[in-house]
Amino acid sequence: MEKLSILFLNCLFILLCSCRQHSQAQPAVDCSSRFVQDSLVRKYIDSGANKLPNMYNNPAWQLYCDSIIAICPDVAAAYQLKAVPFIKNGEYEKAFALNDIAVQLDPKGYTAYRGFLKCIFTRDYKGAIIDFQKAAQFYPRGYEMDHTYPFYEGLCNLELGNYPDAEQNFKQDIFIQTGGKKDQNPHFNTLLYTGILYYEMKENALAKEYLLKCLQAYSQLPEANYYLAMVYAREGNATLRKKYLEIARQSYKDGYRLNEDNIYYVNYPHEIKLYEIEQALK
Amino acid sequence: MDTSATGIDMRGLPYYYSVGGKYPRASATLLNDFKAFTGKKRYPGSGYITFRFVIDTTGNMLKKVQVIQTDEYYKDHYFDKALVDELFAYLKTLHEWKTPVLPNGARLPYRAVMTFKIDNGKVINIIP
Repeated sequence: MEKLSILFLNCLFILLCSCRQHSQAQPAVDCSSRFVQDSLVRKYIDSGANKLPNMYNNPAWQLYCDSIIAICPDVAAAYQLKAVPFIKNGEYEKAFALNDIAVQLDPKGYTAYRGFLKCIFTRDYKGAIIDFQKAAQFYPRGYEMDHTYPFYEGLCNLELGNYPDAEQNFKQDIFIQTGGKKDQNPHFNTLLYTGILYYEMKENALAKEYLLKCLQAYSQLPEANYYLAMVYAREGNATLRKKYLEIARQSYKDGYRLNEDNIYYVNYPHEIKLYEIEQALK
Repeated sequence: MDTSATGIDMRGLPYYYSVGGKYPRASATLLNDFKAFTGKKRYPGSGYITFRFVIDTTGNMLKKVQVIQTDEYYKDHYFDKALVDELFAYLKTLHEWKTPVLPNGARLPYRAVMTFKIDNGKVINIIP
């Protein structure tokens, strides 16, 4: 029995030594390397979390993100991705605690994204403007979710009622997109919101100009037709008012929308529904 | 209204955005309706009050509701209960929730979310 105990202890000692040697032989992970960080995201997100049923609403989504953080706590993307279900499901405290870490770790990479969340998801327009202005210091011609930073600033100022600022923002947005070339067309939602801005400013001629340009690019866009109808209503043109409201109604019924990826989660500024169109038609 | 997260088993149900269930009103319309519904009393504090609840297959809100509150900096915060009650009373007046239909014809319950943005005790935005 005594011999067996000694044999067991010897085996345990050898096993522990071998484990120690093995762990010492492991190369240290260089978490500061962009290659390493990207590899972790590929392994745990692209090949893991993104393949989960229900993706970010699957509890395992958090585990995949935590796995990256456990290996390299400074990977900003892991915090941003961990926050995705929270922002979409209304848990703003958790969402912004995580996005703030992402911004702290990688301000160039995530300040504009946080601004986007504040502008579109939580309507914190003043906070969003601050983030976009900081982001513009890193990338003066930067884009976030298909739009320039001044585009989002324009939305924020439009919603805050700071119309002259919004006008400057949209002009800058158009300049970044077109390089000042008259034959280049900016994004139709830039034209839409510039038209809405002039509608709110009661600049009917400019509102019509931009909304009609928008409709040249996307003739079914319900908001462009609706706000154009509102301009004609203000001018007392009942025929054109009715015409564009009817186009808006039919387009909405046919499934046409603002064509922004995030409209499934929240209403965009000045977004309308079939209800508002039908109310206007009454 | 159950204002705690415990005891609510919403797991397994899709969120409104997976089934096209965003409430079919513009935010401006909701805000105007809310202003018409509510009294003029102001409460202290700024931030967000979010209600999460289940819409059943008939388009009705189930009784158990989760309430999540933060200040304007997204930090944990509790507003006056009377304000939360007032917002909830308004929420219960919304009866146009969508009832998504599956390809087999069955209707689907889902989790819905609605957030009220508060500025110095005044509701300034409603976020479906």
